[in-house]
Amino acid sequence: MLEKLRDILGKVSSGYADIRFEIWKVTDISMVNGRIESSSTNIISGGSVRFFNKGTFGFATFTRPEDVEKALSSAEKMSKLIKTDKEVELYPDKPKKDKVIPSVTIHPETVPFDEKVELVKRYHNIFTGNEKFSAVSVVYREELLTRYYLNTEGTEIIEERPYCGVAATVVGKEGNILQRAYRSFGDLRGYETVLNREKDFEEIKKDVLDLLKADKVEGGVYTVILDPQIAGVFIHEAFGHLSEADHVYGNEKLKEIMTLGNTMASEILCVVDDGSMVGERGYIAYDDDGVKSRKTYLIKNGKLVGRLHSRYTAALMNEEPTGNSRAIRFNYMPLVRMTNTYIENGDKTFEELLEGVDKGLYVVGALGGQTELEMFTFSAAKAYKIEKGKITEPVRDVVLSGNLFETLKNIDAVGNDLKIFGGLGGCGKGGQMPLPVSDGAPHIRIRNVVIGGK
Amino acid sequence: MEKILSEAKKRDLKYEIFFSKVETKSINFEQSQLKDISHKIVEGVGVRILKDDHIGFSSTNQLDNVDVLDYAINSAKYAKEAKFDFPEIQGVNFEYGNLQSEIDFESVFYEVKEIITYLEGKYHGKVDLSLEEISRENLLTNYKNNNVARSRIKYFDFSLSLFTITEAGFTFSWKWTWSKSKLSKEELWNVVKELEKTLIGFDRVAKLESGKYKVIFSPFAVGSTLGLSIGSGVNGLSIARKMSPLQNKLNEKILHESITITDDPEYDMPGKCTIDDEGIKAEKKPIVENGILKNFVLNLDTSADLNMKPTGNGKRGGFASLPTPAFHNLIIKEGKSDLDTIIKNLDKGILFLFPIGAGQSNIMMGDYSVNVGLGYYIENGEIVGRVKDTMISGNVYEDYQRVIEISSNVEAMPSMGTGGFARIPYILLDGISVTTK
Repeated sequence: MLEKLRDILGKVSSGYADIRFEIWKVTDISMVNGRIESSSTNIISGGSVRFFNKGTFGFATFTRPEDVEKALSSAEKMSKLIKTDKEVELYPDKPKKDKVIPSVTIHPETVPFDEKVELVKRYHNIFTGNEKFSAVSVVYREELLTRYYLNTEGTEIIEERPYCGVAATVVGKEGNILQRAYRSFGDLRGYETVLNREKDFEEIKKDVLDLLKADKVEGGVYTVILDPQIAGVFIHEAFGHLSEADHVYGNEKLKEIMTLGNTMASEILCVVDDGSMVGERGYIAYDDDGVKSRKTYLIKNGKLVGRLHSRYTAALMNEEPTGNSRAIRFNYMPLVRMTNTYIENGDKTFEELLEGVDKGLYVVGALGGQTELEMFTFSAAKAYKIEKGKITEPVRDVVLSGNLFETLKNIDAVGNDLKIFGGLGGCGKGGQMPLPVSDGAPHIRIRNVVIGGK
Repeated sequence: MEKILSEAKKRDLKYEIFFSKVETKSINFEQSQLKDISHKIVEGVGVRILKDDHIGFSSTNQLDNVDVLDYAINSAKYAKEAKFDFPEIQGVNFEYGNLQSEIDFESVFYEVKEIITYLEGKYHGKVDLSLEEISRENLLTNYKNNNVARSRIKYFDFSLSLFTITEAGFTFSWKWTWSKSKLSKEELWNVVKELEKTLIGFDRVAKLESGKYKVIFSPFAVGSTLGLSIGSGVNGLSIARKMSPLQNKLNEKILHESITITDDPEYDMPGKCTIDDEGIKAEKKPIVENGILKNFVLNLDTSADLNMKPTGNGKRGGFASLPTPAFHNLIIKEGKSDLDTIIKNLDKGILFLFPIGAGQSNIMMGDYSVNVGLGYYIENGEIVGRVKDTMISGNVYEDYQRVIEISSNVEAMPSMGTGGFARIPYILLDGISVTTK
């Protein structure tokens, strides 16, 4: 395959082009309410060609390897179709040749299909026998990706990414109330990730029962303590997206707000995106521009120190590429995306975070989040009231919201118990969803957060 | 696909073969600059097998890879029982949209350049936009007869968004339109006009207190609240899995009597079709009629689980997905007054245009809690200014009982969690919970 793609790229006489070719083997097993709903293996392969001409990309996809040449000429034609006044070259990157096959103890491919079905059944059985659990769903997902990346500068990369994960969702019912809780685990560490999750899934039971007896939260302005999972979603939504240079490069006012060196938060906050964390859900050896992944500080001691780039945005802003050019699949154009994004450890224990709170909320687990750069929301899986430094009764329907710049400054304490979460979901942007990422943080405390409610 | 089909016939299987090809040509602008011109083709085959009364499935985009049959057979070994059989397929040849029309990148480029220059000059912001030509072709056949149902759909769409920063903070607004032929200059500028309507007073902030307000939900806000909850509530999967609060509510009043929601595969939008992706006839049907729940949305599998008739709503997200229940065209019936009159008659309330964070609450139960991305405070029929740092929350099944008025203006939009396309009016609701700093 590599030789064939190399030969075809070799015919490009001038200009920049790259080819991605990917082979996906995707296995899905899901069991819902005691029955296997799906158990399929799907094979998808194909690729795309980008041609870059003075700031404009031409992009064409192909399914069969014999159509690469056609795609290449189509991409070249499209990139040259319109004369614009843009004169941009991609930020330089050294050519490299590499083959990355991650070593995992148990490769998911070596585990027989039957065993995976049995695993799903076993986890599903954890929830049988309680009539309050009206719907139970357990899902196993495996994505084995082999990808080839080549460009006209001589870079050639073969990379494998063996992903697998498992998730359980339970809907509890009491009278007319339906509540849902879930846990999800998934990364590139191998089949071990999905094994021995009984204890983790047991916790869902307590979540559902807590939620069923919880009252709706009262709307208002609260001091909140976020657990590592939802703090991770918070930093992804509230700050990660704003760090993506494609939101910033053309907008003079936003560039001013996002000038490196500006103070964004108090000194206790450090935020990192790191695609090179081997085994994490968002791990990539190389991005879709062929740039090596790396650790990028976004905020260091409260100051803005970096942002995420592709070679295109790096050229436009004259900053270094960071290995964050990513597409969900071969038939999509890469965009500037996060990888593994987290808040670094601070020095407070959980008890110390609680001590300062007279009336607040302890918010645990995340259902999701969304941002429009300045304003963001994210919603909690569950929450508890904090009264005089003590965690008391559960509340539900907690959706937190705020202005990014105010909220970052309102983080007044950072814990020392960093955890990073992968799972089955992913990040969405520009119609590309889900992109594998992970988020994480230690416990953090934020003052003055608006929470919608009755 | 022929190779897979003839192999399936040879092996005497109860098969269903679905081929799908989606071709997209697009021109995309980022930060007011041309970023790329793209041509994408996604095609492949999904094979469903009924073996010993169990459902097997597999898919591939290697169109002549017959291994897909073995994968499907193997998966049937473990899968749930099939309580249904594939239907006899009508050999239809369905076409929608102007199949001959083609996007002309060069002329489009100069037209949208004018739009960008205009918007940048007036609002000092940056514009992201994309124009697409989308062609979908589906082929469906199964073991019952040798008929092949073919469907070809073509449409063009245009999405326009503006991002600008003022004293009042960040403003992000967008509009979308579609057409059966390539979009004319006039159609493109109509989108600009619609976008500008969302920007009346975007650069000043109004102060308001937390409390209960009358709120005009925009079509997008209606879709993000009512659309999402009804979409999942009447979906056969939620009903069969006992996850829906609408489980036992057929023929009961669930919303205000002014609300009528129809799934209409005959309606002139790209969700139009004559049969669904399983070969069942697609028919127009009320979902909610004058506030009363009339129908669920079912595919073969869920209708068999529920012992009900399939409703012709088995749809696939692509060749790699099993059919799941989904709407074709979701239509919420419009009212009599136009939006301007509704605003003029509003003594005190909020015009709620774009929510942030929709779909993250317990939508199944009808709960929503969203930030006001773009919305205006109205007093005595006049826009006072933008509502910021504000959450709007409540429950669809309670709040959409308090309808004051529904607009005659409607907007088309894709999806809204219901699978197909949607056509939705503005809806003014009373007593909506608003939380602000």
